[in-house]
Amino acid sequence: MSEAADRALLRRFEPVLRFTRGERFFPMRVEPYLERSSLWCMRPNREAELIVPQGELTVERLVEPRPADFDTVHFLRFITPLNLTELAAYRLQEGLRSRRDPYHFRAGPGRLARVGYGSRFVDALFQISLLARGRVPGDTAAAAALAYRQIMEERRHFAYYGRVVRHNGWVVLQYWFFYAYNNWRSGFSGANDHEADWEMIAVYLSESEVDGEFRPEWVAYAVHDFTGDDLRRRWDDPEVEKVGEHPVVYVGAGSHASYFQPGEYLTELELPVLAPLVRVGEQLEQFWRRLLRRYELEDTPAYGDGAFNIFRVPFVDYARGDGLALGPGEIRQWEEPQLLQPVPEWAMDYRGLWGLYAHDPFSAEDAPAGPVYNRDGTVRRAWYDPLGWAGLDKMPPPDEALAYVLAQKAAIEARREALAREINDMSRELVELGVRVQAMQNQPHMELLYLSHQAASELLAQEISAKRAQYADDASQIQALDLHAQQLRAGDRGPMRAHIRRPLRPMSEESLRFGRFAEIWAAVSIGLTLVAFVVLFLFAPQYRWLGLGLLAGLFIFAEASFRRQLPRLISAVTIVLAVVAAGVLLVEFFWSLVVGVVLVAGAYVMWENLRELWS
Amino acid sequence: MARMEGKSENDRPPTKQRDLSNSDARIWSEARPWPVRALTVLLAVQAAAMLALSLLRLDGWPPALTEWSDPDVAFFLPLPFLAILGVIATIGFLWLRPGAWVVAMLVQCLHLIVTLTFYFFFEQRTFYLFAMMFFAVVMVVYLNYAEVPAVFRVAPGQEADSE
Repeated sequence: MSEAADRALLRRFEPVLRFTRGERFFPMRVEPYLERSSLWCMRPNREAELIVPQGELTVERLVEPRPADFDTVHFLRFITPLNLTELAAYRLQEGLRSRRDPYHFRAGPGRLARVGYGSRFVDALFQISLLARGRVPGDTAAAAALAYRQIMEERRHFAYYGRVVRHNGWVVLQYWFFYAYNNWRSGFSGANDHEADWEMIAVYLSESEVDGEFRPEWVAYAVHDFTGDDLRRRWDDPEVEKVGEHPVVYVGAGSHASYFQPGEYLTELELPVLAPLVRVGEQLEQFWRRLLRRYELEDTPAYGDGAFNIFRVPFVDYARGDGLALGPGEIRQWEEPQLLQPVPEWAMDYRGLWGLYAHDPFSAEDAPAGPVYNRDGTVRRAWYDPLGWAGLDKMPPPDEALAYVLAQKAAIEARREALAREINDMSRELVELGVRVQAMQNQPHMELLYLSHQAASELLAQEISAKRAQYADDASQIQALDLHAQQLRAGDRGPMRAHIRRPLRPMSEESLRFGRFAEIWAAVSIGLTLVAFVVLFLFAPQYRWLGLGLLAGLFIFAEASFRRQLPRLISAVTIVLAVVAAGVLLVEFFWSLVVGVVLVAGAYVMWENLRELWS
Repeated sequence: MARMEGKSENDRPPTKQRDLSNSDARIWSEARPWPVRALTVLLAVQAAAMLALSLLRLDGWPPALTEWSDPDVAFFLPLPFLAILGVIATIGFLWLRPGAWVVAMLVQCLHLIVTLTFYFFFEQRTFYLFAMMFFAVVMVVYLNYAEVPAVFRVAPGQEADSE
């Protein structure tokens, strides 16, 4: 297809982006960003070295080949941090502006009020760990906002990079968005800040063989740690909002993650150190459910914030869609799409990071690489396997689905016929062998021959059995394919959300209803715990264990009351106490219990046998 | 409907049935699985046992303040309260009130707290302590058996009716 046709296709389905109030960075072209950036190189165990200073960086200089040792990182620096006066002036200006502006961001119930005490404790550890981990300096966001504002004042533009890929009969439209900065942490109490941000959504089209018309079938949005099937929704899914043929994307404030529905999303970050504890907890919970057949718990909303999620750090991603809207039918419009084919040099030949390298071991504060590469320089899956990235590699386009089904059915039928012939021949052979074995049975001088024939006969019987099982499986498969073909002919594509294992839902209105006291409690509880512990150990060390127990009980009770979780707390505590009590009973009465169990088992067996005798 | 088996519409019990509000009628008409019936009886037995134990072991109620520090006396002090809570839970189970399951769990929680506290901190090793512990453990397991909480779960949107 020609470049013009690709461009037209991209324009036809280009998305509408709806941001949250308070968002400062919007999709832009990379050139003005590069003009204000410098290029750096960090060799192992060395200080960062400036390669191209700010103002001199061009695409040609960016992509110059630069051989280097393993573990060398090339990165850009978009801005130079502000000095104290500039920072103070910026803060003052922003403070005044936000007071005047009725549309500035208001967080609402804080993220800490939305999660449990345990999660808040882990969160406190996470915040402290930022002091030790590499992170983007605090004033960088302010400087980036100023620089971005300057770029927009010079030439206001909203741009995306488009790519059209054809794979397995699908036509994939990728829309890549480049943001100068991700200020999720500093602007919206999120997980991270980093310079540069690349986000992507994809629309999957099928092409009609009759009229060559393109039909949108699926759409997939990149969002945090979600992968595969969970990323995509069917085009006719009511969850996918559209303006004409343009899918609507609700963009996370600061994080720029893409969501199908407006709302506030609780994102949980799992700390690798605590992952084993999470797994053990989940196993125990699962055991309890299976033991008492309480499967309904898996469907309750509370399951998502089960007791063992306390080991994850909570963050809220605000994707309210109440801010600037960008795209067809909105006040702000996209400029002509920038095509990523042929792949521009800056995308293909520069494998470094697009912003500051903060040395963060979790990589959350390091800038991302470009649209083609991961941070380590390997190619992104979304780039080389756009179908597999959204779990669509196992599905044919709807127009081809029936042909695939019929071809599969024909192949299985052919295999079945061959199998039937084989089974027939082998069965005859088995009968012949069996006859010979029977004939040799009472002939002492033929023992060796008898044994070898018997072994061959058993082997053959096993083979026939396996083939018969295959024959029966094939029949079931043909039946299933027939049914599927019927559905396809009737235009039934099956349930639209069956592929989603981890649905992404905004927090419900109910869960966002917090009292003022609950919010204050959430903000002060961790600090208060630490102070109370210190006071207890300093002034009443003789009562430390009793005091610790009382304190823990008090805090847990307050927490559960504020979160309207008292019934759940009572249930959880009772279960734990019952386990302890069961342990006590086991220790105290081990042998009595063993004797008792044996006696009961004996009586039961006797009763069953006698019943059988009398019946 | 199990309790209505074999009866015609006109044979339905008492006049009280007609006086019930809509929500009560819903509760009466709901199936009552036999584990719920068994638990109702067990809760009543537990409450009666607590009351009997405290009456038999204490000379008069309330005991003199000077005796409260004696673990042998202190152990029985909370039992009447547990018995009252047990009676409330039993009534809740009889009427299938939505909060009854939580109250029943709370009763077991308190039983376990009392018995474990006296076991670990006052080294009591009496027969009735272990009997109470065993009974509470059995009740917790039984209360969590799938069918039981399901009976007391309020469907979304019915919260207003049920209270």
